[in-house]
Amino acid sequence: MSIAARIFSPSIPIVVPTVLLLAAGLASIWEAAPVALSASGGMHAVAGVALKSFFGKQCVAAAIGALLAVVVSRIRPQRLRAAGYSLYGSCLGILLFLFVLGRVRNGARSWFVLGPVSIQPSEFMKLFFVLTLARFLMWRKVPDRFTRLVMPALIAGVPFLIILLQPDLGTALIFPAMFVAMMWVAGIRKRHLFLGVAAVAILTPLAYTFAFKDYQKKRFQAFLNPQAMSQDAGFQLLQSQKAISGGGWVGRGWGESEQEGPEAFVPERHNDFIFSVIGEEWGFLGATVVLGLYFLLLMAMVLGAFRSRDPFGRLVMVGLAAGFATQIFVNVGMTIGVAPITGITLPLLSYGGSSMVATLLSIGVAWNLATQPTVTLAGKDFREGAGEVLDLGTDEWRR
Amino acid sequence: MTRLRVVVFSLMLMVPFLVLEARVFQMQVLETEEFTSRADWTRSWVEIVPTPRGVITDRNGEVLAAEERCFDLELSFADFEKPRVKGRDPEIDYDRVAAMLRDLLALRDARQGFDVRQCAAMLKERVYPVRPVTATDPATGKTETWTAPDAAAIHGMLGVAGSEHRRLAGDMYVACVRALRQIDRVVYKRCTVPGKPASARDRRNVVRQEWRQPYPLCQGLTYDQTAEVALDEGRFPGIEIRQRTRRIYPFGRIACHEVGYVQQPGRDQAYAKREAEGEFRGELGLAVDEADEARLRERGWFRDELRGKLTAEEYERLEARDAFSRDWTGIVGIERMYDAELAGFRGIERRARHLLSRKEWVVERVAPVPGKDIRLTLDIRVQKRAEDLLDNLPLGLKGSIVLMDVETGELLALASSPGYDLNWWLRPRTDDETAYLNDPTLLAQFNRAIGGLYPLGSIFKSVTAAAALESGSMTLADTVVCQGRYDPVKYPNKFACWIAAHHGAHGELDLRGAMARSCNCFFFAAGERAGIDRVGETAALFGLGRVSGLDVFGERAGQIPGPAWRRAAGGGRWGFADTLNVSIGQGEILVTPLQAARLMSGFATGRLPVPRLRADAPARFEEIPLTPATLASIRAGLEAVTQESFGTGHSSGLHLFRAAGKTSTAQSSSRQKGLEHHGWFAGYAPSDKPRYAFCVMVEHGGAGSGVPAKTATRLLSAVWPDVVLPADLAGPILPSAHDDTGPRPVPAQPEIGPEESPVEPALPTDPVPDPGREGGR
Repeated sequence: MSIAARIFSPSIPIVVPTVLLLAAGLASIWEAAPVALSASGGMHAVAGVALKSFFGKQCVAAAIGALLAVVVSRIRPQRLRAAGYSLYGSCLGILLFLFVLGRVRNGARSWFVLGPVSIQPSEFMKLFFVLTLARFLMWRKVPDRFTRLVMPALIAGVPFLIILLQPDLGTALIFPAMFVAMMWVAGIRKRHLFLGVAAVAILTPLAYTFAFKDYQKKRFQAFLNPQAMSQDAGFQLLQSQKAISGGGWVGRGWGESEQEGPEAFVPERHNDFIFSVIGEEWGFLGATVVLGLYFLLLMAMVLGAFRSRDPFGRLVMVGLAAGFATQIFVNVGMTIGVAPITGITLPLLSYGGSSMVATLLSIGVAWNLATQPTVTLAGKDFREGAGEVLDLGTDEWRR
Repeated sequence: MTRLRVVVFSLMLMVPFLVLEARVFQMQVLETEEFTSRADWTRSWVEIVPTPRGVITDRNGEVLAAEERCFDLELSFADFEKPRVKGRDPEIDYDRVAAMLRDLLALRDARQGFDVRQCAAMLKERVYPVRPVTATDPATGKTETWTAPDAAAIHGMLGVAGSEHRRLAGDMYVACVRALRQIDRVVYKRCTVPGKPASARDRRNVVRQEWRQPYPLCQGLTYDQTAEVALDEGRFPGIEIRQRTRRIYPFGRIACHEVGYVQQPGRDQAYAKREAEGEFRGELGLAVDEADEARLRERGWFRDELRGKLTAEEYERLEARDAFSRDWTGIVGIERMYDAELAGFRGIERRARHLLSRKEWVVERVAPVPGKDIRLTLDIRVQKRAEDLLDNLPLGLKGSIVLMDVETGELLALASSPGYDLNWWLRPRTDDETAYLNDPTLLAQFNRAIGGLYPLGSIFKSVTAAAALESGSMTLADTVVCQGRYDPVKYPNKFACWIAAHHGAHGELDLRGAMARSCNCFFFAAGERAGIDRVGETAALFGLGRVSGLDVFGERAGQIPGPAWRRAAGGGRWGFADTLNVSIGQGEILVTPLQAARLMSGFATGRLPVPRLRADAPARFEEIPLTPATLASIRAGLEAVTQESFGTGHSSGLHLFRAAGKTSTAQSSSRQKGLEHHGWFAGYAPSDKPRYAFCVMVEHGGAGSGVPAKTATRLLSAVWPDVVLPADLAGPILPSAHDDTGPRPVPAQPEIGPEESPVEPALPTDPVPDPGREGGR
C-alpha cells in the first residue's frame, strides 16, 4: 500500500482525530477537575493521586473504550448488523427498569449503579438505536410514503420519550437529529420532512408550556437572557462565556485558568463545560483546533458513508455523524451562548465514563464500517439498483 | 438512498461548525473585553472590624478590666429560610424560628438558669406583627399594597425587651425584628422620597439584600456553648459564629464605681421614641444623630483612614443596622472618662462574596487601632481593704472612704459602699441582681465618695478657725469659755455645745483644746468674729463646695451657704443663727468625702492637690494663700484630736500612725426617724511628714469618734501594715454606744433640694438621688 493510500485510508482520518481529542480531553480534565470529595464532604488529602481521582477514572474509561473500539473495528460488519436488534431491545429494557430503580443524579433518573461503577444506558442507546434503525431501513423499501415512516418513528420515538422523561432533555434531543439524518439519507420525501419540522415547531412551545420542568424552563430562559437569570442557570453560561472570552487568541496557557480564583467559578466545568476550559486556556487557536478535529472526524465518517455501498454502513455512519454533530453543537453552543443549557457531554472531552466508552464504541463501529466494505443484497425497492451493490465486492478504492 | 443526499448531509454538517467557529471568533478575538468585567458576579459589603479595648490596671499593674475571647451568634435569614420573592414579601417560618431559639435558649439554660419554657412562651406571644401598607406611586398614581412590619407594635415590644430575665429572649427577638425593621425602614425611605417611588422590584431587592445580612442573635457565648452550635449545624440553619473579645472585670466588686463598666447603648430606644413622636421621618439615611456624632467622631468613625472608604449607601446600611451604635461604650467611671482612648479605633473590612460559589475574600481593609491601656493610681490592695471595711460596717451602714497622696493628688483608694459586681453588666442579670441595683435604699450604683453630698459637721470647724485666725479677729492666744451654751446671756437656751447634753461644759479653751474637744462654743465665737463671708471664702480656698477636677464622671460640687447664696437660692434673710450654724459645719453645708480629704490635704501641705485616678496624668495643685502660722495652728489642733488623751479621736488608736485629723458628727434630719447622725473622720498621716490624706464617712454612722475613726485606723493599718494594733482595735468594729459627742439639734433648717451638677452622669436606668437629702426617703 502506498503512503498516499495509507494517509487517505479510512482508518487515519478516524483514528488520528480521535486520539488527539482524547489527549486534549485528558489534559483538560487533569487540570480542571475538582479535587475529589469524600462522601462526608471532607477532602481527601492523602496524596496527589487521590486528589486527581477524576483524571484516573477518566483514563480507565478511555482505556476500556479504546480497547472496545479496536475490538469492534476488527469484527465482521455482519455481526454488528446482527447484534443491533438485541442490543436495542435489552437497552430499552434497562431504560425502562431505570424508571423504577435508577439513581437520581443531577436531577435525572438515568444512572444504573453496579457496585462502584455507575452506567448511563442512554449514552449507549444512541449507538444501538442507530444500528437498529439502519438495519431496519436497509431491508425495507424506500420510506417515501407516510405509512412507511411509522415503524422508524417508533424505533426512534420510544427511547426518545423514555430518556426525555428521565428527564434528560439533552441526550433525548440527539435521537430526533439522528433520526432525521438517517431518514434523509434513506430517501424520505422532502414533503414529509418539512411536515415533521413544522410539527416540531408547533409542538415545542406547547411542550415548553405544559411539559417542561421548572429547571428546564429556567435553563431555556437563561439561554434567552442570561443576565436576567444570573442566580442559577444563567450563571454557568455567563461564567463560561467570561472564561472563554478571556482566552483571547492563544489562551492563558494550560493550568493558568483564572477559574481557580475565588472570583471566577464555572461549576461542573470538568463535565459539561469542559469547552470553557479549552477556550480559556488554549484560546481561539485551541478552540479552532478542537473544533477542526471534530469536523475532521465527522467528515471521515461522512466520507465513509459516501464511499460505502452498503446501505447499513452508510446509514450507521450518517446517523453517528449526525448524533456527534448535534452533541458537539449543543454542548459547545451552550458554553458560548448559542444553544440552551442542557445536560449533554462533549464527546471524547467531557468527564464521564459512560459517555467516553459509548463514544469510543461508536467510533469503533464507524471505523469498522469505513474499513470493511460488505456486499449487501439490498431489498427490492432499493432504487439505486443491484448493480452498485454487486460492484462493492470489487473493493476498488482499496487498491 | 442516494449519494447526493449524503453530500447534502455533509454540507448541512458544516453549518453548526461554522456557527460555532464564528461565535468563538467573535468572543475570543473581537469582543474579548466585553466579558471580562466581574462586577456583576460578586457582592461586596463592609464589615466593622472590632478591636479589643485597652486594659485597666491599678498602680502596681494588677488588671482591673481586661478582655477575654467570646463568641456571638449571628443569624442570616437568607440561609435560614429562603425568601419567596415572587410578587410577595418574604415570609419567615416563625415556628421554625421559635424552635431554633428554643434550642439556643436551652444551651444557655443549662448554664445560666434561664427558664426555657418562659422564654419560648414569650416568643410565641410576640409573633412578629405585620400590617398592610398602602402607598401611592407619585409618578404613575398607582396605589400598591404590601405587608410590612408594624413598626409601632415592634417598638412597643422593644420597650419591654430590656428588663430582667426577658433580656435574653429579648436579644434574640430583637435580632429577628431588627432585620425586618431595617427592611421596613429602607422601603419606607424609598417610598417617601418624592420623585423616586419604590417599585415592587426595588422593594424586593432591598428585602433580598437585607435577608443575607447576618444579624446578632445571641451574644457573649463561651467556647463550649458555641461548639455545641458549630457541631450541630443542621439544627441551627443560617447561624454564623463570630469571634470577638469582651470585657471582663477580674476584681468584680472592687473599685466598681471607679473602673466603671461598658454597655452597648444601641439606638432602638431612641429611635422608638422619636419615631413615635413623628420626628423620625426626616432623619433616615445619611443623617447621623447629632448627639451621636460627637461620640462617633471621637471613636474614630470619621478618621482620615476611613475617608472615602465607605460609600453613602454602605454608610446608610451600616447606620441603619445600628453598626455604629453597637459599640461597647463606657457608661460610668474610668471606662466612660477615657472611653475614646480605651476603645481604640474600629477598622473596616470590605468583603466580597461570589454569588454562586459562595466564596468570600477581603477586598480592602483599614486596620483597627487597638485601645490604649490605662494605669490607675488606685492600689487594689488598699482599695480592697477599704471596701471590706465599708462592707463590714456594723448594722449594715453605708459609707465611703478616700485615701489620697497629699504630694501628688493620686487616689490610692476611693471606696463607696454598697457596691456591685461589674460583671453583672456583661451578661443578663438575675432578678436578684437587678433588684439590688435598683434598690432605692442602697443606691449601689452611686459613688458616694465623689457624688454623695453630706453636711460636713465638725470638720468644718478647722475652716472656721482658719478664717478667724487669718482675718486677725482671733489670735492663737484667745480663749473662749464654754458654758455648755453659747453666750447664754444674749441668746438664752439657743446655741448649745454638744457637751450640754451630758450636762457639762468645756470651760475655758484655746484653739488647740477646742479643736481636740470639738467644742461648739469656741467655734461659734470664731465664726461670729470672722464673719460668714470670710468663712465662706476660706472654705472655697480649701476646695469645699466645688468640684475638685477628679478625672471621673459623677463628681458633685455641694454648697457652702452664705448670704449671697441664700439670696440666689431664693431663700429668706441670712440670720445670725445661720452664721453660727455654718461655723460648726451644720446647716446647709453639703460637701463630698473627697472634698473633706482634700481639705485635710490642704492643711497638711499648704496646697491643694487636684485628685486624680489616672497614673500618668501630671500632678496639679492649687495654692492656698494662707499664712504658714495659721496652717500650723490648725495642724496643731488636728494633731491634738488624735494624740491628746482628751481628743475626740484618741480612743480610736489613730495616734499609733501619728495621724492628725478631725472627727465630725453631722446632723441629719433623719434623726427624728431613728437614724443616727452622719459620722466622719478626716485627717492626714503621718502628722510630722504628711503623706496621705484620708476621709472616712459613714452614713448615719453616729459619732465620728466611733465607727468612722475606728475604720480610719484599720484603713491606715492597710497602708502601713507593720504598725501593730492592739487587739481591741484590730478586731471587727462594734457599733458605738451612745456616748454622743454629736451636736444638739440646732433649730431645724430648711432642706436643700438636690443640686444638679453639670457633670451628672446621665444613667439611663437609675436616677441618682442625693443621699444628703435625707428627708426624701
